[in-house]
Amino acid sequence: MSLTKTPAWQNLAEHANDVRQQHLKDIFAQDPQRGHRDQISAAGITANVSRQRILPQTWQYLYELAEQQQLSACIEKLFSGQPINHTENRAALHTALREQHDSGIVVDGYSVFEQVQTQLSRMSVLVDRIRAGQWRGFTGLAITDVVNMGVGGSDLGPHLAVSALQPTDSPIRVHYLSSMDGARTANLLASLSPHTTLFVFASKTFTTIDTLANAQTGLEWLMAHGASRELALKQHFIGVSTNVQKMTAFGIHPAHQLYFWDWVGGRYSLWSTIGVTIAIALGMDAFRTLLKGASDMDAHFHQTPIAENLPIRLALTTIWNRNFLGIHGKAILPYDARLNLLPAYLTQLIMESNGKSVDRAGNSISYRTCPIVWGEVGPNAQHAFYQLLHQGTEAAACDFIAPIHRPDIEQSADEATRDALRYQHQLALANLLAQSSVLMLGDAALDAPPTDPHKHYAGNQPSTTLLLEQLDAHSLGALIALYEHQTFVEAVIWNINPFDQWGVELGKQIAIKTLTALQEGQAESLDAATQALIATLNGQTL
Amino acid sequence: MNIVIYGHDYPALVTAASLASNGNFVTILPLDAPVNWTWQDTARKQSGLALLIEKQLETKRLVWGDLQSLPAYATSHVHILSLSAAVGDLSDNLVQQLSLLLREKTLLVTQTLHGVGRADAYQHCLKVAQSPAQVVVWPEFLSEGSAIAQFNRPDRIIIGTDNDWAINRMRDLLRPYNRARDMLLIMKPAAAEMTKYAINSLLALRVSAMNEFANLATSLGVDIEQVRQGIGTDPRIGFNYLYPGAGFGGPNFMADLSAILHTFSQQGIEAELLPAALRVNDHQQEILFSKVWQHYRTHLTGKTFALWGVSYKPDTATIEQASSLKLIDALLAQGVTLQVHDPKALVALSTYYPNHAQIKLCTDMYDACLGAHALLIMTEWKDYWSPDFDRINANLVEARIFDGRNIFDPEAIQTIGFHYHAVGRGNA
Repeated sequence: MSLTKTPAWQNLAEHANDVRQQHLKDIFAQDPQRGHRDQISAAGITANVSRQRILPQTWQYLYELAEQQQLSACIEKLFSGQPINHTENRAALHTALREQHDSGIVVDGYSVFEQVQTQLSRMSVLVDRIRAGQWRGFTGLAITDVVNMGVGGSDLGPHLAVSALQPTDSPIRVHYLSSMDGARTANLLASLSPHTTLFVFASKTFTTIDTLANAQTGLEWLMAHGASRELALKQHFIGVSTNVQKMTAFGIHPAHQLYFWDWVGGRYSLWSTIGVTIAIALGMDAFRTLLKGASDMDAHFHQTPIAENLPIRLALTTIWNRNFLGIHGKAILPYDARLNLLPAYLTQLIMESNGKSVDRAGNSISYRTCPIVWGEVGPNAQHAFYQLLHQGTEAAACDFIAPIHRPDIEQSADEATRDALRYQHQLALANLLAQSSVLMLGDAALDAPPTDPHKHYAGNQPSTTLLLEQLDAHSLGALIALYEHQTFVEAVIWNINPFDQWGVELGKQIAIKTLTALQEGQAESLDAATQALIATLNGQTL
Repeated sequence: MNIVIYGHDYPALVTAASLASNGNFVTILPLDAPVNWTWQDTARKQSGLALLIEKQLETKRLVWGDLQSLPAYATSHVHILSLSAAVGDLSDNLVQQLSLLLREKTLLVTQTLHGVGRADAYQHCLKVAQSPAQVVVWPEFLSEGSAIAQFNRPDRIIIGTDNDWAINRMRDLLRPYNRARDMLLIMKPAAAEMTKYAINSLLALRVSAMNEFANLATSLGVDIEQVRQGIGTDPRIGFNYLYPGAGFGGPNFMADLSAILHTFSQQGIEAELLPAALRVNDHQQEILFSKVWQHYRTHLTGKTFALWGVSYKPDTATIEQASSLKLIDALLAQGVTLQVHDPKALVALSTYYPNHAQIKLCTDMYDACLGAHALLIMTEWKDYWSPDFDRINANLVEARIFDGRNIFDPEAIQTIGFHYHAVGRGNA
C-alpha cells in the first residue's frame, strides 16, 4: 500500500485541513503552556518545538505514523549492524564508531568494536607524534601545517569540527583542499613550506578524482622543492581510506595508512579515522569527547520513548511541514559564527541522504521527500535572505541554534573586552529570540499592526530553537548525531534508503568521457551544448 | 656591612661568598632552592666556589638563615634579591614581607631581574608600607662557569637608582671590585633593568644571525669559518659571539629573553626581531637532528649514536633549556639509542630521563662511542677538543662525526679518515 493511503497518513492529511487554517499566534493564545511543554533536552541540547504548527493531537497522529512505519524496529536494525543500506548491501554503522563499550556487533566475522579501537589507537600514535613536534619532514624539520585533502564527507566533517571548536593553542595549523580545480591549491601551497607540510589524503575509495588530483599536485610540489619521491610519500602523506591496496599503490607508507570500512558512509565518516585531521588540530582527547557527545545522543535516540525522543520529534516536524503543510525549505541558522560551516555540513548530510524519489523497493513515490536545505550564520542571514522568510511567498521551516554559555569569553585577557563580548552574546541571543518570535507572530508582535502593506508581516512560519549548554566537542558531537538520527527517522517514515547516493555517480562517469573530448577536441558524441562549450574552451570559433 | 642575600643559585652564592671574603657579614637565605637541595649542588657547577664558601663559613662571616628569622635580619643594611628569574611570585611575596620590616638607611637590591619595571613596583610597595628603604637595581652579568672571576673583575657595574644616598652606599659596598678604574654606571632603575635585557637580546640576535648564515653556507658549499674571520675584522662588528652552532639555551638566558618579550607585550608593542631570533634558534637547536635525518635518509629507528656533551654550555652541570634536550627528544622519538657522555651533567640527565631504555650514560667518553653509528657533539667541553681519534675510530661502526659546536678542523679530521658534518662547514 502506498504510504499516502495508509491510515496514519490519512488521519494526518485530514487533520492538516484543520490546522492549516490556524495561525501560530492563535495556537499560542489558546495554549500558552505549549511554550514550556514542547521543550525537551538530551545530551546537553535543549530543543523547543513549540513554534511548530503542531497541536497536541497532531503529535499523537505523528507518533502513530512513526509506529505504523515500524520506526522502533528500524532503529534496532540501524544499531545492530543489519545491512539496512540494502542497495549496496551494507550496514550503516556510524553509531558503532563512537561506541564507548562493546555492544557485540560483528560484521564479516570481525568484532566492529575491536576494529574501531585498533584504528583509533593507530591514529592516536600518529596524532600524538605530530602534535609533539616529532613528525619530521624530509629535511628533518617538525611538521607545522597539515592539509586535509578530501571532498564531501572527507572534507566537510573535519572542516566543520575544527572551525567550530577553534583551537587557539594548537601546535599545528590545519588547511583544507577539496575541489578538483586546483585554483585554491596553488594559493595555499604558496603560503606553506614544503619542509613542514603534511598532507592527509582522505578518500573512502582512494579513487576520488578531486582528491587524487590535489594529492598529485602536492606530491609534485614536494619533489620540486627537493624531496625525493620516496621521502615525500613517507614523511608528508597520511592516507585514510577503506581501500588498502589503492593506498599502497599510491605509495602511502603502511604505518601511515589509516583504515575505515565500507559500512561507514562518507557523510558519516568524521567519526572514523577521517577525523584524524580533527584530532591533529584539537588533540586526541577532544576527538574522543566528540565521539562521546555523539554516543550520548545515540543512547538517547536508542532508548528513549518516542514522545521524549529528540531526534524523532524533530524528524516528525519535518514530515509534518513537508508533507502536510507543503513547506519546501528548511533553513539552518546558527547564532554563533563558529558554526558557520554547519549549514554546508547539514546540506550534505540531509540532502544526499534523503534526496530520493523511489522507495526501498524501487517504486516511484507520490509524496515529497527531502526539503531544500540551506542556511547561514543567523546574524549574517538577517541581512540576506530573512527578507524572504518574513515577506516572501515561499514558506520555510527554520532551525535556530545557539549556545547558552560562552566560556571562551572568559579567556579574553582583559575585563573590558570580556564585558564587550558578553554584551555581544546577549545581543545575538536577543536577535535569535526576536526573529523566531516575529516569524511566528508576524504583525501581532507589534501593539498596533502597520497600515502600509509593504510593512506587513504574515508570520505563521514554523521554527525550532536548539540551545547547546555551550559549544564544545561534546555538544558538537551530540548536535551532529541529532541531525543524523533525525535524517534517518525521516527516511524511515518516507520508506527510502538514506545511506546510498546513486545520484552522484552518473556525472562522474560522463566527466571521464568529457575529459577525453576536452583534451582531444573531439566532442561529436556529446550533446550540442557541450560541443559548443568545448569549442569555446579550446579557443575555436564556431 | 651586614648583608642578607636571598637566593640559592650561583649568582647568589658567588655574591654572598665574595662579599663575605671582603669582610662583610653575610646571611644567605636559599628561599628558591628545590627540595633536598644542598649548597654543594650549586657550588659543584662553578669551579672554585665550594672552596670559597667553605672558607667563609669557617670565618663565620657567611651564615645560613631561614625565613622564620626574617624580622631579626631587618636591621641589616643591605638586602640583595638574587632569586631565580623564574620565581617572580616568590620575590613579590618576600618584598611584601620586607616592606613591613625594613627601616631607615636600608637598601633593597635586585640582582636578578623579573621584567622591566619590577624595581619601581617594589619601591612603590615599600612606600605604601611606609618603609623608608631604597630599592636599587644591580643586574648581575655572571656567566655560569666563570662567575667568580667576573664578580671580582667586572666589565661594568650598573646601578639603577635616583637616590644619592643609595648610590654612595652601593659605591661603598662595591669599592673592592671597582679599583682600577671607575666601572660604575648610574641610571634610573628601569633603565638598568632594560640594559641587562637588551644586552642578552642583542647576543641572541647575533648568534641567530650567524646560525642562519651558517645554514646558507652549508647550502652554498662555503666554509662559514672563513666568513666568520672576515666578518670579525670589521671593527663595527668585532669577533665576539660570532660562532655558529647548535643554538643557544640555558635557564637564565632564556628566562631573560622571555621576560623582555613579556615587557614588550605589556606595553602593547609587538617585538619582531627577538621572536625571529628565537624561531631561528628553535630550528638551530635541532640542526644535528636534521643533518643526521638527511644523512641516513630518515632511517634512524634502531640506530645507536654517541653523544658528547649535554649541558647547555661547558663548565656547568645544568641541562635546563639546553639545545641537547631538543636533539635527544627528536632522536628518541625516532627510536634511536643514545650513549651519552658529559663531564658534569650526567646526573641531571638521568633525573630528566629517569631509567630511559634508549639512554645509556657513559662516564668514559670513548666508551660512549662503542658500537655507535656516529658521534654527535653538542657541548664544547675542553675534554673534547683534542681527543684520541684512533680510539674513536676503533669504537665507532663508521668514522663519522656530527659536530654541533665546530670544534674540529674539517680538513685535518677528514685527512685521518673521518666523515665530518659541522655547522656551516664540513660535509654537507
